Amino acid sequence: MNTVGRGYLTWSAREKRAFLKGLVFISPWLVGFFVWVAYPILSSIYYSFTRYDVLRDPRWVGLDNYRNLILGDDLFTKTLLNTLYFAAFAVPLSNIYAFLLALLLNSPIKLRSFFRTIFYIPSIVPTVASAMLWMYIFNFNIGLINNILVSLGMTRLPWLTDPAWAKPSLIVVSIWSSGTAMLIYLAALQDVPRSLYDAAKVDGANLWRQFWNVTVPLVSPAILFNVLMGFIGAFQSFTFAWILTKGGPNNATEFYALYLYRNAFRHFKMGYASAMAWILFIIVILVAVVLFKSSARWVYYGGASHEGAV
Amino acid sequence: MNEKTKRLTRRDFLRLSALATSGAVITACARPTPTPVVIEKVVTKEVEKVVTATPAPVRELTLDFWFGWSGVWGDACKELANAFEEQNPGITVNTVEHGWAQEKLLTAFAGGVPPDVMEHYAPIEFAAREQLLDIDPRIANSAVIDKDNYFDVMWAASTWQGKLYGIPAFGFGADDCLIMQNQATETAGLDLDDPPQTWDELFVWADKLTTMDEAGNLLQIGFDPRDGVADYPYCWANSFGMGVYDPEAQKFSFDDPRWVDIFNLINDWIHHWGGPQKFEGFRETYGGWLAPTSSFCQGTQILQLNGYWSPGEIALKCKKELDWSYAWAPRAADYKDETYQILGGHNATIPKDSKYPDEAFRFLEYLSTDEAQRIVFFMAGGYVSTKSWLEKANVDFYPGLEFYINSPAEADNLYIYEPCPVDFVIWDQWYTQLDAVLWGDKTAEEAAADMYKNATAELESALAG
Repeated sequence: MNTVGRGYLTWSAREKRAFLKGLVFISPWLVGFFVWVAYPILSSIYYSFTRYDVLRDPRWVGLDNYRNLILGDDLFTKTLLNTLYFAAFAVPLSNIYAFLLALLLNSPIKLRSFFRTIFYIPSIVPTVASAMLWMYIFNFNIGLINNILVSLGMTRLPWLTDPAWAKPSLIVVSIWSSGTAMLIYLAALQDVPRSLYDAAKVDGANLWRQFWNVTVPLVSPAILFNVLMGFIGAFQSFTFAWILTKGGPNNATEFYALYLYRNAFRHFKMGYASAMAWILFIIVILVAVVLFKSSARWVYYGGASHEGAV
Repeated sequence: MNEKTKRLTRRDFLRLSALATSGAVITACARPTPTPVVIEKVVTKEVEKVVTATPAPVRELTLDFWFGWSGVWGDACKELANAFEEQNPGITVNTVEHGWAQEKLLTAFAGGVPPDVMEHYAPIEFAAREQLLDIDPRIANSAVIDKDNYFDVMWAASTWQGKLYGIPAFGFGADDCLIMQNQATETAGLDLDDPPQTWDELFVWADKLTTMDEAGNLLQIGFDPRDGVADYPYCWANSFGMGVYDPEAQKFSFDDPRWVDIFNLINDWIHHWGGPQKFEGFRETYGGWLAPTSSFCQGTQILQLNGYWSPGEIALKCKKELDWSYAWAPRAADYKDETYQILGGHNATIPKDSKYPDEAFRFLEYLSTDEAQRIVFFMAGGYVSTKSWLEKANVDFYPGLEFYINSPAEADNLYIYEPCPVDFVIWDQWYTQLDAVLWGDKTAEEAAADMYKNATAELESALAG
């Protein structure tokens, strides 16, 4: 049955029945989507223009929340910069790490399956458990890293207790937990036809030229996907910072999502937090648009044009 | 008598409780005629009276009771629920630890399914947003809760715009006392009988008690001005002769120049001993307050300001071979001759959407009894400073308890944590601005000005509804 391209009114009775049946079958998802996704999203647009403490009726304040955030809230600016800093370093470094790891695990090394499992484990360990582990690794006096440094005759480093070190430490944690990206790269690498490498060798390409002119272009759609998902995740970073540093010291790891949470639930400012959420949404959309626009220059979609592929 | 023989184990206590309550249970089970029974003998300084209450007609229901604690305090809350159930056949109390997680509480309130009884240390945040039941009329008719049995200021902590939204319960007492570890203090040649009375004197003591390694890392801290209740803005404000918030004028004191002095004082201290990073590293290793692994319980922090729960918690959690002494909290030099104390703690409240407000209030009545106090005292080391309890309490049971029990009445100035609709903002502003000073982002003047500006803006917004 082909109903594509024709309006509902022009469908036959049978086609309409089939369509309605289809709707009935997907209705659990539809109900869930409208109640748990669409309605909250639309509500939050409205709340972002109100003073709303969740417990009492919202009161319309126009653009006040947006104005106060952008012009009058120093901590908002700081948390935004913290998040941008984190995303700017964590996403590229995580992807480079995951890509290199995937290359390694795609090569014919001994115990390959074992290592693949080992490097993927951080992604399936509950975040809270991972955070507790890192808490001990980074501890100033009794932590694993500092004990090694001291045994090598070096001084302890304040991994989580100094504003200058706290963000880089969380970036390290983020890199460590990039097993999912590694898995996607691994799948992409296994999709690269051997014949292309053989042809490159015949043309006299060394290993670097094979990597740069064959591997990277063919894996570039996966890079785009991982980078995009990485940025979305980085902008929403919450758990590690919440458990390891509580946003400190001196708000150095107070990320956007932490501050949004504090406003929504601790300060009873759900309207203000909704405005923050929409500003974050716009930032994420901008990053996505830039990535997609730029992808025409660096993402290889086989024979298809960029537009056609997207 | 040594400490071991004094201590009542949880098993002993439960056994005694079972014996003590069995009579009441049997009486309550002998249904159908609701005759008055003696609930509690309340003794105040002025009067001695026997109060009675008529058991409500029994009906099967479940009260939801939410409290913040886990650990020994959580166990005590569960025991309170059990004891109440035993005295009120038909009523089941479902206990839930809310951990003061706002998202848990807010969503429950917003969804119209709050608990029937909620423990909280900042009830005014909810009262000011019209979420709690005004219990003043019920207390006026209660034969169990006697307002005169409490210090007047304790009621002020849960009063908002003339209405009363909670009773002091679980733990509510003197918060600011200087606790000194005897062994280390004496080893340093300091006289425990002549404790420091001002911040400057405490500084001298702390200096003698602080040790560092060759790399300048703290090995032992004399006093951490950001641990215990010294991490509270109220402690500093009170020691400088002021409060934090004036509920009548609806105004913060952050524009008072004494806040600049406070910021500068803490900043000087922290930097004298290596800067904030050294303290953060030390705290990261041990944790703070009175956790069993904390620097204070382990004996690597020698002086601490902490509250009424300390004697009990120290006895239950800290190193047994150490001893501690107690003294008035230090003050600014201008207030050296004026001792102060602040009463603070937790409240039992009834959300306005409680399913069973009558039975919930009955539970509040139970929480006001000395029997409930005994449960918390023996299981967690806390208590509520009711007059009847303070007169009966065995002050020798936990070393140091006597100071906490007597100090509210003896202090020259008695403060409370003033009821404020943006309580959490006060704390967050305090930490944010103090951090900014310690890490060199702001001067003390700038931090105090920002604290006033931001807190006032939040207050105005909250009051506007």
